[in-house]
Amino acid sequence: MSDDTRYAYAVGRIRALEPRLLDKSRFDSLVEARNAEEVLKTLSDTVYGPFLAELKETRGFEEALNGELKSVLRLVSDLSQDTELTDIFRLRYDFHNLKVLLKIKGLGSQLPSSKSRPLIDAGLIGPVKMENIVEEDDYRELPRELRMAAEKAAKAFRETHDAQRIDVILDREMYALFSQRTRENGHPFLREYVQICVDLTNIRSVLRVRELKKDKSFFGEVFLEGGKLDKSLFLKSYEEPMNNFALLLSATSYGALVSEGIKYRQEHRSWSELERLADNHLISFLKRAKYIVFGLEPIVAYFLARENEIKMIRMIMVGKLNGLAVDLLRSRLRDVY
Amino acid sequence: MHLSVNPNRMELLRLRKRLFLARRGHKLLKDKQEELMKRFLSLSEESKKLREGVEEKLRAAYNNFLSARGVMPGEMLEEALLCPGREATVITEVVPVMNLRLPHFELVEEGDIFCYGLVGTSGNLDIALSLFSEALPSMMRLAEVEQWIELMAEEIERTRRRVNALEYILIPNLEETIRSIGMKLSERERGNLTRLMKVKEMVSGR
Amino acid sequence: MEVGVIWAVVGGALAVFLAGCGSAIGIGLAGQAANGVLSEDPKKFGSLLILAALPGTQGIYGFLFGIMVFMKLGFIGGAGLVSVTVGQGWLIFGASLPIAVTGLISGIHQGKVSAAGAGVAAKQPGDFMKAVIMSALVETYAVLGLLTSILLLNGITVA
Repeated sequence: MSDDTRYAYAVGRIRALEPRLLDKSRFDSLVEARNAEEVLKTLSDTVYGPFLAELKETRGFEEALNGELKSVLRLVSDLSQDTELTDIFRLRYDFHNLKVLLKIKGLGSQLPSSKSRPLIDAGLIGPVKMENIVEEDDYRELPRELRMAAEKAAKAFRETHDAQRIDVILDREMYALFSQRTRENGHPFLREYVQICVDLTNIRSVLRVRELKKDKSFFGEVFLEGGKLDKSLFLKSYEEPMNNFALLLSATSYGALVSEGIKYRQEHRSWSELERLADNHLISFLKRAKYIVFGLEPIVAYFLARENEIKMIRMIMVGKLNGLAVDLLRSRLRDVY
Repeated sequence: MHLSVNPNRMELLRLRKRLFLARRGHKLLKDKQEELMKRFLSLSEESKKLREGVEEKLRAAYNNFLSARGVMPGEMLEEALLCPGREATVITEVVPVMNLRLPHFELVEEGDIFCYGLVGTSGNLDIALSLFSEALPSMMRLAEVEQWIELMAEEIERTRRRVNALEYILIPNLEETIRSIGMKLSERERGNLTRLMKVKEMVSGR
Repeated sequence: MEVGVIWAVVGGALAVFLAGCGSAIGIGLAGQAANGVLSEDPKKFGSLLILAALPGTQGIYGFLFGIMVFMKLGFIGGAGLVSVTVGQGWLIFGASLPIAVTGLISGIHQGKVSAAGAGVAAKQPGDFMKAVIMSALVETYAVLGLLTSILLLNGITVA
C-alpha cells in the first residue's frame, strides 16, 4: 500500500466529496420513481442539480451527466500529482473522438454535420483540435502513443476499408497504453485495476465473439494484452460449450461471475447479468481504496465510483423513458462504492 | 322485374343465350371466390403467425438494445453504429396470381452486422443487432403477405359483388323476362289460333 | 565554556527541534487533509481544527523540556551559568533523547492518524470524537517520552 503524503489535501477533499455519492437507498428511490421527470427531480439536490437546472428537456439528461463527468475529470486532474497516470481516464475520450472522426472520414460523403457528431469533450485534446488533426491527416500534434495509434488505425482503414478495424486497433492500442503507463509508473493499485479491466473485457469479448460465430483468429485480434489471464486460457475451450470456459476460470476470482453470467445468458438471451457482475467486481476492487489515507487510490476510486453512478443514472433514465418495469430495472442496478 | 325488351322470338333466343352465359359466369365466379377465400384464409393465418414472431423478436431486440443503451453513453453507442457493416437491398417484382398482380419482395443482405469494437460496447448490442437482422426477413415476408391480403380482400369483395349481381339480379331478371316473353308468345299464339279457328268457322258456315 | 555545557545545550535544543519537526510535519499532513475537507465543506472547521491541532502537542512538550534544560543550566533565571562536567552534559543530552525521538516520530504519525480522522469527520461527522481518540492514542507515547525525559533530568544534579 502506498503511503504518499503528497495526497493529504487531495484525499481530505475526496473524503469530503464521498458522502455526496448517491447511496443505495437513493438509487432505490430513483428506481421506484414514476417517470423520468420524477427521477430528475429526485436528483435535483445532488451534485447533478446545477447541471439539471440548465436542462431544457428531459431527453437531454445526458448533457447533465456529461457535465458532471467533466467536472469530476477536472477535479481528478487538479488533485493528481501523477498526471501521467490519471491522464489515462481522459485519454479514453480522446480515443473515442479519434474513432468517431476516423470513421466519419472513412464514410466520406455521408458526413454528419459538425454539430451532431458524437464527440465527447472530456479528453486531453479538444474535439475541435482533434477534428482538424484528423481532417489534415497530420497527427504530429498528438502525444506520442496517441499519434502512433491513430496512424496505425488510419493506415489499416486505408488498406481494408473496414470501419471495424479502426475500433479494434484503437481499443487494443488504448489498453496497451494503459498497461504500459501503469506498469512504468509502478502504481500497484492502478496497475491491478487495468489488469482487472483487461481480464473482464477479454472474458466478455471471448463470449461475445463466440456467440457471433467468429473464429479463433478474430478473437486473437480483439484480445487485449496485459491482463492476469493468459490468452491460451481463452483459446483452450474455444470450441467447447461455454460452461467449460466457466469451469476453466472457476479457480480465478472471475469464476463466479462468469458462470452466473453464462447461466443468465442461456436463460434470457442477454448479457446484462455478466456485465452487471463485472462492474460489481470492479467496484469491490475499488473499495480497497477506502482504507488508504495517503495516495492516488482514493481519487481514482472516487472518479470511477462517480462514473459508475453516472452509468446507473443513465440506465434508470433510459429505463424510465422507455417504460421498463421497476423489477427489471432494479435487477440491473450495480453496487455502489 | 323484367327487362324492357320486345317480346318476340328473336329476343327470347337472345335472352336464353344470355341466361346461359350468366349461369356459366356465375358458376365460374363462385369457384373463383371460393378459391380466393381459401387462399385468403391461409394467408391470414400465415400473417398472424409471422406478426407474432416478428413482434416477439422485435420486442426482445428492443429490450436488448435498451439495456445496451443504458450502459453506454449516447455518444459511444452512436460511434459504435456509425459505419453500418451490413447492407440490405430489397428487390421488388410483381407476380400474377389469378387476375391479381401481387408484389413480391426479395431481401439481399451483404456484410456483417457486427461492425464495432468490443471494448466499451455492451454484449447486449450484439444480441439486439442479431435479433433485428433475424427479424428482417420475416418482416419483409410480413409486408408482402399483408399487401397480398389487402389486395385479395378487395378482389374477393369485387367478386362477391359480381356473384351477387348475377345470382340475385341478372339471372332472376332474365328468367322472368324469358318466362314473360314465353307467356306473351304463347298467348299470342293462342290468340292466333282462336282467330284462325274463328275464320275457319266463318268460311265453312257460309 | 566547558564541553559538558555544550552537550547539555545540544540535548535541549534537540528536544525542541526534533519534537517541533515532528509536530510541524504532523500538523502539515493533518492540516492539508483538513483543508481538503474544508474546501468542500467549510462548516466542519471546528472539528477539523481539533484534529489538526492534536499533533501540535509534541512540539510543546519538546519546547517545555528545552526550557527546563536551559533553566537547569542557568541560561534562564539570572542565577548565572552553572558549571557542568562532561559526564553531566552527556547525561542531560541522554535525558533529552526520549522526548526528542518520540516527539518526532509520534508527531508524524499522529499527523497521519489525524489526516485519516479528517476523512472520518467528513464522512461520518457523528463519529468524529472516535477519530480524535484514535489520534490521542498516539499522543500517549509522546507523553511517556516527556515524562521519562523530565524524570531523568530531575535525577541529574548539577552544582
